[in-house]
Amino acid sequence: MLDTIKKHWFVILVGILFISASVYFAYDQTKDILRGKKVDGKDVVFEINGQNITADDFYEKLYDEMGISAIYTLFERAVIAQSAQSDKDLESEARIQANSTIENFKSYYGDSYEAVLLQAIRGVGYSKVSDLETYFKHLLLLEKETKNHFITNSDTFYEEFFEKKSPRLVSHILVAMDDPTKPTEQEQARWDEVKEALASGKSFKEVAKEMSDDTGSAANDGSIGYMDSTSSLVPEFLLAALSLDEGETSEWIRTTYGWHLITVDSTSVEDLEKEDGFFSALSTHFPNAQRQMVWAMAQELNIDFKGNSEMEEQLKVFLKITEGE
Amino acid sequence: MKKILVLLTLILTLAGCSDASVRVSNRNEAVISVGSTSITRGQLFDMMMNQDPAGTVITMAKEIILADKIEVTDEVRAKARETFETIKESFGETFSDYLVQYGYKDEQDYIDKALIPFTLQEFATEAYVRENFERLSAEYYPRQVRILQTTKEEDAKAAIAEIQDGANFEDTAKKYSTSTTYKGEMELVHKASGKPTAINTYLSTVRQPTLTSTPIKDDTNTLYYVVQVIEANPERFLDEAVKSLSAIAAISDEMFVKYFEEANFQIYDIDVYAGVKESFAKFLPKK
Repeated sequence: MLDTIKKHWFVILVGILFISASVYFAYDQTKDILRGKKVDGKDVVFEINGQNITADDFYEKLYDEMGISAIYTLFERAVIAQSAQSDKDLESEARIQANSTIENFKSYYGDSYEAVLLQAIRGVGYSKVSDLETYFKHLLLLEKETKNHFITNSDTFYEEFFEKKSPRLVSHILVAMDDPTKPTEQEQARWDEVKEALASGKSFKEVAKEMSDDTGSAANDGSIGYMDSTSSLVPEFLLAALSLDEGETSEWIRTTYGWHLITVDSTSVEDLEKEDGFFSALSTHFPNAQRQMVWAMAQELNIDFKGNSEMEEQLKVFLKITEGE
Repeated sequence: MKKILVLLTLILTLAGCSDASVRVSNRNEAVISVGSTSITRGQLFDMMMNQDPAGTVITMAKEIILADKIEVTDEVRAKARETFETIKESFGETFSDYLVQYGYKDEQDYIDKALIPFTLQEFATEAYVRENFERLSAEYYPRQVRILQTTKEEDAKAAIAEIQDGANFEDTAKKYSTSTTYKGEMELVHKASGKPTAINTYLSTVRQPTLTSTPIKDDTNTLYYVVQVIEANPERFLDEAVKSLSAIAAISDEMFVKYFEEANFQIYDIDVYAGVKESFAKFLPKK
């Protein structure tokens, strides 16, 4: 033995050094790894005071805190995925929104964007960045179904909404001024030019496009699109716009921005239904409508609560479903 | 030679280990199904685990610690019921909606799950403050005081002179104080009461009942204060001082940091660990 060691001492030395280096490498690679723990075959989430809280215990606690809303999120996705019809345009839009979100995260968070995006996507119940397209597809399908739901059930929703909110499509021309109570010579001259253009027979849209100081709406012939009685607009503008009937144009109205000429382009259901803002406002006014629509769609598909009547009751309370619905 | 290769393979396998991530048992068991889609325990667990579970872990850990330290006595139940009545009254008709929104089955469920743990924490913190009263008093210097605030130095000086001549502090405050906060009423203050730094600095040095001989100027603005210390020894208003110090979040945090360490708090899931590290690092075991 001793002779063998003496004969191969160099090989043995190299071997010892190699093994030592390997052991150190393994230690270095694993020293910061978080070790798991199992008790009776169950994963432990944390331990305190010698008490092990298993994933099953933690499931119950989380379920108490957020179980029903989490179930609803998964339930809604399952219902929409099975009931709503997708199409190429919608799929393409979902892809565009997913790519655009990725680009935004890249430009905002730099190299760490993927980790932040993963955290965000996990927060809405998906597990990987590539699920982003599925997430947007679901949102678009849900939005589409909700619109259809309002249109199909217009008898239920529109009368109250029109009466309380006075929805309409509105355009305006703005002559901006620093102090609208005291126009400067230049501001007054500009205002006179606008008045002359209108007096000369130019249409409201033409003048708005060419001369309005609100460049955002000017690009759309003066249209600010959808508004109703709860829109965030300066009070004088809101009041004037709501007091007009379809096709009417206001007197010049003074606000903190300057002087406005306002016209109501339409109050018709047909035109309003072309506007996303109209449906957003409906969803805000009827906050339970979307969830109740999902519930109705689910009933068509058949729901099985696996004998858990307590969960069924909790879900109905969450959805504000009354007996018989 | 073969043995060496096996050893090396084992070492390299170990090197490839990853952080622990927990899984609920019976992952594939359906909780609910709609049409042809089943929602499983595993999906639901993952979904809930992705909603930042660190706060739930800390709440649960605190509950376990408190259950070990404080018994749920009739006194605890009565205090929880008292808090419940106050909250219910403040919410008015919307109270039942609030309970549903936060997932409580009924009022008793809310008391059991939210208010009993809250009350236990109050009791535990009070006990902790009593145990550490001398040190915490030296750190937070609770004092019984009367304070008035003026915008002019002359007014503050005149107020001091009148009080020294025997005028009632509250009456003098009515005459000179420009603040609705400082009406000269007796109050218990300490370092964390949110008083101006100038007042805190003064109070930290006072060991006897006294009246400021000159106005205390707040250098961050142009306000002046007159402070009369009624009692500087917190042992003489012990119960009030304990209650007041117990309401300081930093003290209850300090208590829990100690208790988490004593209770050997350990986490075995990487996402939970990351969440706790980000929001509750103070409770993690010290390396």
